[in-house]
Amino acid sequence: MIDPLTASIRVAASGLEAQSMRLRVVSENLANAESAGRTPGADPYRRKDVLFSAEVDRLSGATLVAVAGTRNDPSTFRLEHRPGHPAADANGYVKLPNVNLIIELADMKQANRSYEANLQVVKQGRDMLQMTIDLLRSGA
Amino acid sequence: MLIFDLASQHAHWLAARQATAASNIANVDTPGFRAMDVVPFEQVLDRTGFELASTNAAHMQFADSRFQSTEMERETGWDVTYSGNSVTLEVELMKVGENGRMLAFDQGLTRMFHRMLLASLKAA
Repeated sequence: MIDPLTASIRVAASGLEAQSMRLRVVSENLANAESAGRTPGADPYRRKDVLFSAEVDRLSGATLVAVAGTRNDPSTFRLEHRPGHPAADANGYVKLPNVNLIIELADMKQANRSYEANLQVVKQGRDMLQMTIDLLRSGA
Repeated sequence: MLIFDLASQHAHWLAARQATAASNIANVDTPGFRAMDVVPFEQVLDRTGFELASTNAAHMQFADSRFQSTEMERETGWDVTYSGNSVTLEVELMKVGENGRMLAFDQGLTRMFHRMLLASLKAA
């Protein structure tokens, strides 16, 4: 059993980790927004999504957040007519990744917002601990 | 020394509340997560005096069970998202700020009473 203030910092740290993992996946999606296959008719890069899940911390009993893994987005690929491309099929169409820039940017913004909120909790928890230590110091 | 006991209990409660708000904020994007809150301090105070006495370290500890987080009523949050998550970031951040202010207030009071106590000791 650790004290709740330290536990709150632990929990916020798990939030920071989860949100940064999400940002990593968003950046992978963005970087691979044009990654097509190499052989004719091959599947291109498939967009990935992060799955979050609540998890009870055994040490403190608080509820952490954990990344349960990534999921491949099952939506359909974009089709573009590029006859000269190595991945073009018999009709000259190339399958391009199902990455939508707008969605990725919105996801990035959301991850940023949640990251900031967790950071605020870390700051506040640290300030509260510091206040308590100051009370002990002035009381002596 | 009722005032010191009260202040320390309130600080305990605030810390538990802070940990609960931290859990809510960390799980702001977890599908199906329900926002939690601790029971109000008045209720905690009302229930004091009914603790189990422990005379041995191996006895079960119920001291912290008073600060267990419980599920928040639906209307306290602002909305429930499509994924079933009822955490509102603004409400939680307000709680976090409030906890800090209340702890500062507690500790100001404690410090003042401690000074008064010391002053009376010196005068005697």
